[in-house]
Amino acid sequence: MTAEFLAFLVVAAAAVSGALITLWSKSIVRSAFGLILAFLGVAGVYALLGCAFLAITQLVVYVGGVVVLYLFGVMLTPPDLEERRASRVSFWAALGLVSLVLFSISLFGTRLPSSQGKPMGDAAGIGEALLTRDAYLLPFEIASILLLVVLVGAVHLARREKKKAQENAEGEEA
Amino acid sequence: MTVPLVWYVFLALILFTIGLVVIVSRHNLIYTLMGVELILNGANINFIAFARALGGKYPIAGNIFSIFVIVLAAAEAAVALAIVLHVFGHFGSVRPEDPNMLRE
Amino acid sequence: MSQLQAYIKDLGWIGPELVLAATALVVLLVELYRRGRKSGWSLGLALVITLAAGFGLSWLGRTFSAALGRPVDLRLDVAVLGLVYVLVTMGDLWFKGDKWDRLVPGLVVLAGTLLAGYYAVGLMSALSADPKGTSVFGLQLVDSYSVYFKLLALVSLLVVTLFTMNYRDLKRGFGEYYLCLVGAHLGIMFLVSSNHLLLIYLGLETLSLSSYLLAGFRKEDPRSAEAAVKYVIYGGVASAIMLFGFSLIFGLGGSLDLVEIGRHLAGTAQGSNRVLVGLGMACTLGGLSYKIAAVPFHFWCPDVYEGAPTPVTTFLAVASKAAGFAVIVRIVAVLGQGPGWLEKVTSLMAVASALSMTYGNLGALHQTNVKRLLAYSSIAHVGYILMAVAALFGAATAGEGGTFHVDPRAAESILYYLGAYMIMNLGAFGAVIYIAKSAGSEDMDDWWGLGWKLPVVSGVLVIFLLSLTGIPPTVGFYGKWLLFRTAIAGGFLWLAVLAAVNTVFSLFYYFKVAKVLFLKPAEESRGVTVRPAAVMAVVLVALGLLTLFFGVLPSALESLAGASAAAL
Repeated sequence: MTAEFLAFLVVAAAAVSGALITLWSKSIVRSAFGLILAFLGVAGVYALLGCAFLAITQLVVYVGGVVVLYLFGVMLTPPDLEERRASRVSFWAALGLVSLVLFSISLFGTRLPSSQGKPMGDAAGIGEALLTRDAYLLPFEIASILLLVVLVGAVHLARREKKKAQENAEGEEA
Repeated sequence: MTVPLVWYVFLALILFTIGLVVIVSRHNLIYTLMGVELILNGANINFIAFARALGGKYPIAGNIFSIFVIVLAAAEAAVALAIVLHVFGHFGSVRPEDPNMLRE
Repeated sequence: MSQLQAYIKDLGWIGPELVLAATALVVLLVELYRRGRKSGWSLGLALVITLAAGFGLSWLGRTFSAALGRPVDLRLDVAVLGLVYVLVTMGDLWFKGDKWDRLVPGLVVLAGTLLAGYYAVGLMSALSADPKGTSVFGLQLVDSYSVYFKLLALVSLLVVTLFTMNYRDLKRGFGEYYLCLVGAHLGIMFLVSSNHLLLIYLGLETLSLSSYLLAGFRKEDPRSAEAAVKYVIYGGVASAIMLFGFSLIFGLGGSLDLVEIGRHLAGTAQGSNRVLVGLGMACTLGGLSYKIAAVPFHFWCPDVYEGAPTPVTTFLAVASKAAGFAVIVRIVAVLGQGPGWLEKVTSLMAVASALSMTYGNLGALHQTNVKRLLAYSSIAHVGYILMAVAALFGAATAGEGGTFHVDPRAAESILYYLGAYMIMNLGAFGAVIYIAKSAGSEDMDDWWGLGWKLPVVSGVLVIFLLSLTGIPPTVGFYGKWLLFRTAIAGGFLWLAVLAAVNTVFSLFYYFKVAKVLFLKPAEESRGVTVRPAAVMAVVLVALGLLTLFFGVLPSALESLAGASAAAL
């Protein structure tokens, strides 16, 4: 039981327990906080694997961005107290557990390559690869188009139309 | 001694399973999105762990794939929430079975 | 210097995509200028962007001309800047009034699509000597297979844009709409030419996210909102599952490149990690099946097709589906080549095929909403095409090293049928837009006797329905014949028989539409309230003529499909 294995157990436990809180909790706000715990655990896994940059990205984007977005979504919709009772969580969780056990039996029989401390990329290496022609320049540019489209489209959907004003204007024209 | 790769894959598989269970069991559109995020995180752990085991040019590739996944997950979350709130404005509910004008 | 020339060469290979990206940006700029009539901020922003873009362009021109060894002319800067400014502001100065709000962005997209199409045709003929093509930016594979799908996507973009310009139910947000539409097609074009997991994921997400937004574009209509939410929720789940499959395939195949993955996975069917590889393959194929709406990942399809604005439905049924097939064929060709995996992958496809065609046809039998009927019919057609995907390896004789190779004739039949499917489905949905607008309803029960009042469009619709059924002399008949031939050659006789039975069933519901249109005399029909623009009718007649033309003379499309299939 080395220090690294211990650290892995801690972050993995955080990730799994966060995910379980998300699954089990009655209140969706608590689920969102469980999600934060899970994301923190996953960030720990990245750090353990030597991906400092990715761990930071995970913290900034997921914990700082995505979960906050979900919390906004939760706050803008009323609480649904009947939901947890209607959803048969225990049944599905038992089903998931059985299939997980079945898969992990064969998983631990699998011969996988060993992960002896090979160096992972640092931020400089990643940045260079993202802007190199024969590496990942093209995906980088495609992602920028995607983000532009998503930005414009999401604003169109989420924007509140000035319905009254428009109807009045149309009424006057008619 | 480092942690064997199989443990990382196992963790990813656990997150994948919990994400799927969240999706099929909870009756709330926002829960479904949370389950999707759990699956994506599981996939990302796989990418990083395998990349480290493969070595060579793959550590950078795995890092970059994961960064793209995170970026796209954030974009997808934004789109999905915009649509969910839009639907909430029309139907007054965030249960997946409630918008049902399109069934005969 | 040589670095720069390599850049320019690579950029030349992705010319159609670049033209489309520029089109998207111009649409956005035009929209800003038009908004500028009401708000000074938009006008100022548009001015700044135009100036920046003009300077950027002239800088690029200077750099490139220096790189190619031409003398640098500074007057070019001013000329380019002036040209960009004039082009973009023209929209505002010349076309005032609400009518032009609808038309101007559409016209920009039409122009851009034609330019990109011209470029793609040039690429196609350049590739005829060497169909395997070339790899650009280290990741994109420009071969004749991908350029064929790019041409399909561009034709679909052209026709869908024409439909949208005549689709009166969309009232505002045209700039945003066209940006999403062009973005979705850009995603398709990057998707079909990628042989790399990261680009497949990125292209697929660009396509999907834009489609989710498009499905919900009619903000005032709750049915559109319902379509969008069903699409985005299940689509998000499917893409996450697919990504998990990718992560396993990456790890166990030891690469992100599909060809290398195929080589590594070919021998794993008996190895200790076969369960994990199998899980990865199942997740990947399952997530992709969502995109083409194959049973059992079809459940979103009828609702989304019915609720989305009809031009968007057309896009989803045609371009989006073709792109899904482009990736599935590439991935099946890679995953199935190993002994042991071949039977598993092809039998999975065969089961999905049988379920899809049967479910689609049974579901369509009792539909009255025409869009919903066409949705079920599209599920059935996915089943027919999957029949050829299951038989992709032909008689499956192992080549060198025990791996299997794709039968080019099977791939050819898939490409041909996707082209045929595109022509007839574009036509069918366009006719639905036309007739539904005239009748004020998408429900068949309101269409009684309308055929006599709208004889041209209804007649053309009957041609498309004949083609969808697979009756000669239409393009659908020849395509279906190719599919049957492939299935039988690949040893899937039972699938071919099932497909034949299904075709007979499909006669009932396709003819129900024709019967409704023409059986009752014109006097008893509901009045025609609105008559859509004549452009619509012209486009539909052109598509109808194409349906007949390729039915009588299939060799034109067949040789193109054959040449493209050779690249696989």
